[in-house]
Amino acid sequence: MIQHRLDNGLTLVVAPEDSLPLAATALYYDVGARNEEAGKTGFAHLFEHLMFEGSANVQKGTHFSLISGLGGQINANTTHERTLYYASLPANQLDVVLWMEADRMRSLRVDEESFEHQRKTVLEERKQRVDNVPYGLAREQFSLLCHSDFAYAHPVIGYEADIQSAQLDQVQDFHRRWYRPNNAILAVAGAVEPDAVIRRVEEWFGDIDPGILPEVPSFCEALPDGPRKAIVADRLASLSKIMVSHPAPSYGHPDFFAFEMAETLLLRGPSSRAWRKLVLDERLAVGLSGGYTARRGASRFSLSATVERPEHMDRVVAAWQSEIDRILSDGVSDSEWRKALNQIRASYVYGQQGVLSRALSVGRYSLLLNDPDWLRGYMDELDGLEPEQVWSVVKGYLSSEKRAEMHIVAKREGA
Amino acid sequence: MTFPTNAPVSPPNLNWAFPESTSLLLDNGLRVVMLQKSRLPMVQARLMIPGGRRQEAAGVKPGVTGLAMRCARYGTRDYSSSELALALDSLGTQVSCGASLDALSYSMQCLSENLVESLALFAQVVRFPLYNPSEVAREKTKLAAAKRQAAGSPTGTSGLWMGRLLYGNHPYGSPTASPDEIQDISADDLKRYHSESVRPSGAVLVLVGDFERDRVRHLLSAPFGDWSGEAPTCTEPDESTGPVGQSIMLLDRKASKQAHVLLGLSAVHRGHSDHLSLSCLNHIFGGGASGRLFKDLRETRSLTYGCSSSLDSGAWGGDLVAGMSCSTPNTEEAVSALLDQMQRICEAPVSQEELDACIRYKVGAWPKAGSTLGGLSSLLMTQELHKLPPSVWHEYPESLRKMSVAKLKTCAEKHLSYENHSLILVGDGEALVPILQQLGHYTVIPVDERPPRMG
Repeated sequence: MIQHRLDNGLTLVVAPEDSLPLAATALYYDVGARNEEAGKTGFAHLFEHLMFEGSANVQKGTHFSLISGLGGQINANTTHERTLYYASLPANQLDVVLWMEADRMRSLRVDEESFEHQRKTVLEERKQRVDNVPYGLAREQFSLLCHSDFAYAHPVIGYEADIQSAQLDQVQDFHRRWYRPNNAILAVAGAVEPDAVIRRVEEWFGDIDPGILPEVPSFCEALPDGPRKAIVADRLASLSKIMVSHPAPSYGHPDFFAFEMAETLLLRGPSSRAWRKLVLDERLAVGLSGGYTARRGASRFSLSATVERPEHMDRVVAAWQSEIDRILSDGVSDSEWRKALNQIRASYVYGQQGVLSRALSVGRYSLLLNDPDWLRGYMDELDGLEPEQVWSVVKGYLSSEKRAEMHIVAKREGA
Repeated sequence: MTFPTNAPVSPPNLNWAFPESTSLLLDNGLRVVMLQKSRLPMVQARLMIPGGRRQEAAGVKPGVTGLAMRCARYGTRDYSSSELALALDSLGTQVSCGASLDALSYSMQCLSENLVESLALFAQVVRFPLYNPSEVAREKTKLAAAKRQAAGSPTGTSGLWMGRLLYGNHPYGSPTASPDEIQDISADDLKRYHSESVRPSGAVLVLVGDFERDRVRHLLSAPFGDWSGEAPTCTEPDESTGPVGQSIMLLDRKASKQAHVLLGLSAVHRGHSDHLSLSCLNHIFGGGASGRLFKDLRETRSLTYGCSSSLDSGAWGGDLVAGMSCSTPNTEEAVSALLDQMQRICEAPVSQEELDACIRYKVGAWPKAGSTLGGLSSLLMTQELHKLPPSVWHEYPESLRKMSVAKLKTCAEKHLSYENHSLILVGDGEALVPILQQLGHYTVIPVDERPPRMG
């Protein structure tokens, strides 16, 4: 793997892998919903849509068809932490996507018509993902309950009123402020020759002016000083749901790997503690999901359980907490510990298929941890983990005192 | 440096050939297809047994096929439910089971170093499911709950109704089991079905990944060598003939903020010689963000977040269905645009430019099929299930390059009948009825009502 930093600050990571004649790119901009202000929510995501509206040399709406016509695919997504533009395509066409990304990093052309078009599209997206689906609005309320800071509390897609009030004149300012080479990481993976990629990136991105990046706060939240609970009704849901969340360590924190292990012990696979207790043995839940969501800032460890009988919701929370507490009281046997390590090791291998996943991975860890090759040491860290470290994080983060819970009571007519 | 003003496109340069697979036949009739790929230390196995959900229209109790597969992982002859889960998780091995319209399928993914132990556990799931009544009761509750939840979702029961409208009395038109039908299934029903249907003769096992091909017969001898039995005799249905005339239906989801729209046509079965042509037409029509639907309904008219179509073909029939969600006030324009686009793909030739772009996409993306074990095993299984020619994947790029505008036009005229389209809207009835009144005769039913079972 080769890392190269351009004079203008753009970080390039090249991960060659030539088993197939394919290449993939992942361009991460270090801006997401957490950088938004109250009243302007959803703008980072709306801006992601606007990046497909055209630049100096790429006509609006032609990005998808240009790459598709070469046998490739492109898309983008936004989270609280970053905005990502990714592509996979035949390796001999890599220049096309590099050219496209360079063009829209150096120039963006958005007019009133384009802006209104993407506003409408995003409003439809919000209805489809949030307003018209079971638990959509409840999830937004739960996020507010979990986070003490606005940065991670508000939804990435934004509130409808804020999307409605977004202004065209914010666009160029946002581009100038955040879409600068010194605020971006470009990862390239696949059947590519690193020196050639570096030359091309220098040629097409090297003269883009860097920006003066705004001061970014730590985005860490203080641990809660007591439990929080809310009960809401959902007129779109046929089944009730309980959501539970605890604070968790961020990427790079010394407790990170202990939390990976805690997640596996509690939630990965049908032999995990929560699955056995809540679904298989006590049959309190008919569906279960959750896990550790690590970020650079406020991170969470969550559980979501669908129940057939609303009166089971309190029992779900009690059973979940009892399984957490049992790690402290009973410890973890050697065989359970080995099982968890094997699960993680297998997932680690399964996850290495495909050049796009490789590009996404090296780009992500370059952004989050300043180490594109971070995954290489991942299993060694876990193999070196001691049970005491897991007990310590369970005690420190997962007590009932730090828990947030939301009971979503199904109120759909006829349900 | 002068920044290029045009995209620096290179000439196509495909240098990937679908890897060679080999096969062997075990004494018990199980056909084994093998493809070695050693980049990562992992193996994927897929076992397919012909039959599947279409058997439920031919005497098997509704819901039995899916529930039998769902419960197969919860306890076997040699392992209780929790012991099996522990054994699999301890190896990091993943097993899943499912029933499609045409086949039962079991799949397993493991690290190469655990292949022997994983195959032994896989065989337990396939051959010796316990169907403990208590485990079955729990899974019935979970499945019935999931179905109730899905019925009230923004898409409601529209998928079931589209199947009914397109396939009528054909087994493909038979709805999946209702929550009540699920509750009516007993553990004995599952045991009986398993014992009659899950047999090696006629089944196919695909192995892809990091293993030694020469050792496969030996590897399979312990877990599958003494498995015996003839393939189930299942009545093969006639080929689906498709509907006659236009059908319009509204699934009333009161106060819904969006309408979900499905528009479907009958197409061809998977083994049909025109299937590839229709897959090109589908790509041009609604294949993702470069398809006509996305460009028109999202990029030009801003009516929806996304609009696409899919060609779904089984052994005895297929369909082309387009779908989208849009705000209720946009529905009239969106439905009109969708109908126009459907009529256009059925009746007007595509442009040479569209066809060239489609071929470039499909040929250029072809190597991606080899990037995951799941992708490779899926193609091999499709070839086996639908009895496609042995050379089908080797000749795939060349077959695409032979496509012509005239050929696509002939296929569209032959197989895609716009007059016989089926349109389903899911949304607020009060707001949507005036739209449907302009389109012709329609039926209104509650969002979670299911198609009645035929016969």
